[in-house]
Amino acid sequence: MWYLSVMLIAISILSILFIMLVMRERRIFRSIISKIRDHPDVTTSDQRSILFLSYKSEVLQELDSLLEATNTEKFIVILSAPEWLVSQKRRKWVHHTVVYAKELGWEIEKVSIIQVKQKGITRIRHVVEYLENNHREGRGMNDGKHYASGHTRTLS
Amino acid sequence: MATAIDTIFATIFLISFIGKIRNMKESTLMVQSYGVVPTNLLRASTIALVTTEFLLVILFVSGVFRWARDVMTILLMLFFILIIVIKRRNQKGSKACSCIGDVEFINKYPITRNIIFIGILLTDIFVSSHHQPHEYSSWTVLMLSIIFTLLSEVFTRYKFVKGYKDHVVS
Repeated sequence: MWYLSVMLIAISILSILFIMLVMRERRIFRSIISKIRDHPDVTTSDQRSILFLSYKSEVLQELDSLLEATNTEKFIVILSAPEWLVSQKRRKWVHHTVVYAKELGWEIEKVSIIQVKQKGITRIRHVVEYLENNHREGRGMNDGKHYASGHTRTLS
Repeated sequence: MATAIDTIFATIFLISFIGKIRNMKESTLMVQSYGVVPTNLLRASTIALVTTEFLLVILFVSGVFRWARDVMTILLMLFFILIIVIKRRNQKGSKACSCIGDVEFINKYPITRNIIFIGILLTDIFVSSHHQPHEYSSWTVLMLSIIFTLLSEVFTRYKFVKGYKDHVVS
């Protein structure tokens, strides 16, 4: 059974490598976040989630309308696009802070959300579904409020 | 032969299981993105999916119930093909599904991949149905699948860490 011990050694070496890579990945994420917080449009103690977005991505159309309508959770949107598009979106997505990705020296390829919490950093790739859930919750809340205010008005 | 097939499938389901359980929130969103499950059952079905994958890992590692296990996996693969077809009909957006963790080259052509898996399982049913559980011990299968899983994780992370140096956030 000599090969079993060889495999055991391989597993331990690989897990050490894995832990080292995870640590490096965390350091990269931390540097990304601190770089964003150094940007003049964003305050240092900002706890909002960060949404990475590129104008080449396929889901931009859906995300565009969702971001315009949703204000339950506010995002820092890092948008990689031509400058005119960024300024247009800045006017359109009034609830969110839009940061021009080139100012940070970045080119964004994939859409994702990074959430910063006490426990650590979570990454979400299914952005459309996440925003749809947010939108649904927000709409429900607003409907309730409108309905309640209308109701009280008729009563009084 | 049987050991190789067991190792391949144990690795696949272990990668997928670990990828799902690490970020349960995201896996729930993934199940939602299929668009088949009603909203109030999302969490329950995610847990069911993860449990099924864990059970399949155990079955493939131990090598028991060979025949029943293969049929079960084929049914699961057919179910996923159905889901992918439905999803593509509904929305013509992103084609790739992250059914198996973060490994990209497997996730690029999900339908072809599933058909290949079904083919392998069918050969397994017809070729090695009445054999004893393994030629080697199931420790070998377990260790090999752990090694391959770790390799894929290390590879994915290494690609990310290396890619960041070019100032590309992906």
